[in-house]
Amino acid sequence: MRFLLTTAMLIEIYAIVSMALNLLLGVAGRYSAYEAAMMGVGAYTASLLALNAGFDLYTACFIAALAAACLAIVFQVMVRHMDFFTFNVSSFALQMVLYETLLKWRDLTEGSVGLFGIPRPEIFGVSFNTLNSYMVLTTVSAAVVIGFLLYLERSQYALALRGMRDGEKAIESLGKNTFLLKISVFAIAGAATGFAGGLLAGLTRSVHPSMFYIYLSIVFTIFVVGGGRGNLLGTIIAVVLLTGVEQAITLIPGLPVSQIGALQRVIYGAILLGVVMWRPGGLFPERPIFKRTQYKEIHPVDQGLAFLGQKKVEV
Amino acid sequence: MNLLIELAVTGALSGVKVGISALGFAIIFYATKEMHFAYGAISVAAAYLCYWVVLSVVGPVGVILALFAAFGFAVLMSVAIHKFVYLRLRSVMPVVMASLGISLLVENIVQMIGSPDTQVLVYDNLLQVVDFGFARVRVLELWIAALFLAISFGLDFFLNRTRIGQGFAATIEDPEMAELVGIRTARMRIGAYCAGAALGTLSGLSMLIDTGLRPSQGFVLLLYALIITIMGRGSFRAVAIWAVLFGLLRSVWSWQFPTEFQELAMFAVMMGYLIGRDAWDRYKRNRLTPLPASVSASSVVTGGV
Repeated sequence: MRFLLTTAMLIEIYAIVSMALNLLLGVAGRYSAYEAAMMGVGAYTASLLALNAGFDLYTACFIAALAAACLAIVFQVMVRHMDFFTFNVSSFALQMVLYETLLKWRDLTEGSVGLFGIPRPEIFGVSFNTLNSYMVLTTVSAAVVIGFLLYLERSQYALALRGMRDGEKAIESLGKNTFLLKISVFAIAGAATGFAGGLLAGLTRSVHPSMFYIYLSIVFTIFVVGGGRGNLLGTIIAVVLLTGVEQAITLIPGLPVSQIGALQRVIYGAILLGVVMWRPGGLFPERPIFKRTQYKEIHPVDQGLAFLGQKKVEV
Repeated sequence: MNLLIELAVTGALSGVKVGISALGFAIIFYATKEMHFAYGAISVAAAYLCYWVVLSVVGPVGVILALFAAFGFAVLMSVAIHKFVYLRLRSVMPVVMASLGISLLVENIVQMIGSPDTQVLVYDNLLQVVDFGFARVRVLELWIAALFLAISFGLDFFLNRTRIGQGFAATIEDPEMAELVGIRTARMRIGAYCAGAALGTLSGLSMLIDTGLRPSQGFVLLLYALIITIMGRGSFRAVAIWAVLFGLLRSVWSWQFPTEFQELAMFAVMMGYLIGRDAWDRYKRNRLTPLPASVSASSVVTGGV
């Protein structure tokens, strides 16, 4: 039961991060490789506030989200004019900088040992100390964040993001501020990722840098590409399926512990390659934004504008 | 002062090791514009293959066989990936994703066949220390430095002095125009993959003998090569210089600052450089340059009459 609960919560947390990444990669067309580190920033911020500053972990999660959003904004402001390759490399470098900071800033983060005994939250006198009660809190929080991201996916805002992805100059010519669009989407994704990091800290009750190595960023990318770029609902299904497979591998009888991680990564690699090669849109490709049925009927031209169709009469 | 000189020499030599893999990655990236993320994993897999063959077949025959196996595997694998995966995808993002997938596959298959632990090939002759007075260097490092110099100057000569090299340079500069004037760019790209894979294998082999090798080191190897390649901005000379500078900076850092922050400092410097370079380029592009003094306002209006 404990295993199932933990897996379910992991799925919820991974779904938040993967959907945030899909908003960046699929909807806005900007790939960032620092999601794992950003999650680490969220997890460490929430844990440190809960352990040292007397904050409740859930309140600390919101502050962690704010911290991650600020970091994402600062980074985006600095790299906003970079071309695709330089931006990608810079995001990899940021991932490594943040990871090394978590690993080496021993006075604050306790280095590779990490932080232990993170207290679970208590809201309005209700304690979420047990795994079952924390599951309720995580599920409600994940439902709210996922619901917000799904709403965002179908909004005018996402339409502008898609426009920016498909033609930045074109969307600029329509009067959209692409700089603000980029900043805001990175801030939203950063905040969601940071918040998920805080929830993860509460689940595991301990955080250490190896949890946020670059490999995790690649896993989130696999969730996004596998589920379908630009389709946030597909990402949820991919997270459920792939995390289920990942956890099922740990249950294979007789498989040495040292081989579990490698086998999981082999399967992830094969899925990523297979999807890109044979189903480039992902398992659930991006859906059309407007429903075709709405525009099926051909309406007659309004009489008031009929003169536009008439031939010019010579006087 | 002696310590600083020794650190500088050690740093330059460690930069040279990164430089060989960076040059290999740069050859592939500049010629094809494909972000070949599987580069590090394939280099490490080739080095592992060499290790297994050396252990299986004893003697000099085993070494020669192992080298053939390693270089052959890396070259064939890289060319096959280019031809059957990347060329079919024809777009930047899917190529990045596919190469990440291949990288995960190769790295973890090696780990499952071998082990996640560090493997070392010990050759006592190569590990002997030569004392220059101001610095103590191993024979292997001298060999790698000589190889790096030969590759750098050889590449420069090849690109500027030979017909095939100029065709290759044209493919890097403007592939469509190169195609129009009769250069077989597809062959050039395959050649780039062969050369890049060979240099990657060389880098993997040097790590295997020098510090030992783990399957997971492929990604770190790739990351350094990738960042230096982007910093090099299309110039192989710049890639070579940046690699040595990178090693120097990394080593000299430990002269005054704690060694544990070396990696953090290096990645921060690299990221800072990329951001600074971008800002400087934008400034240069946007600033208003005054007209030369010889072109006065009246002459512009009257058309110089």
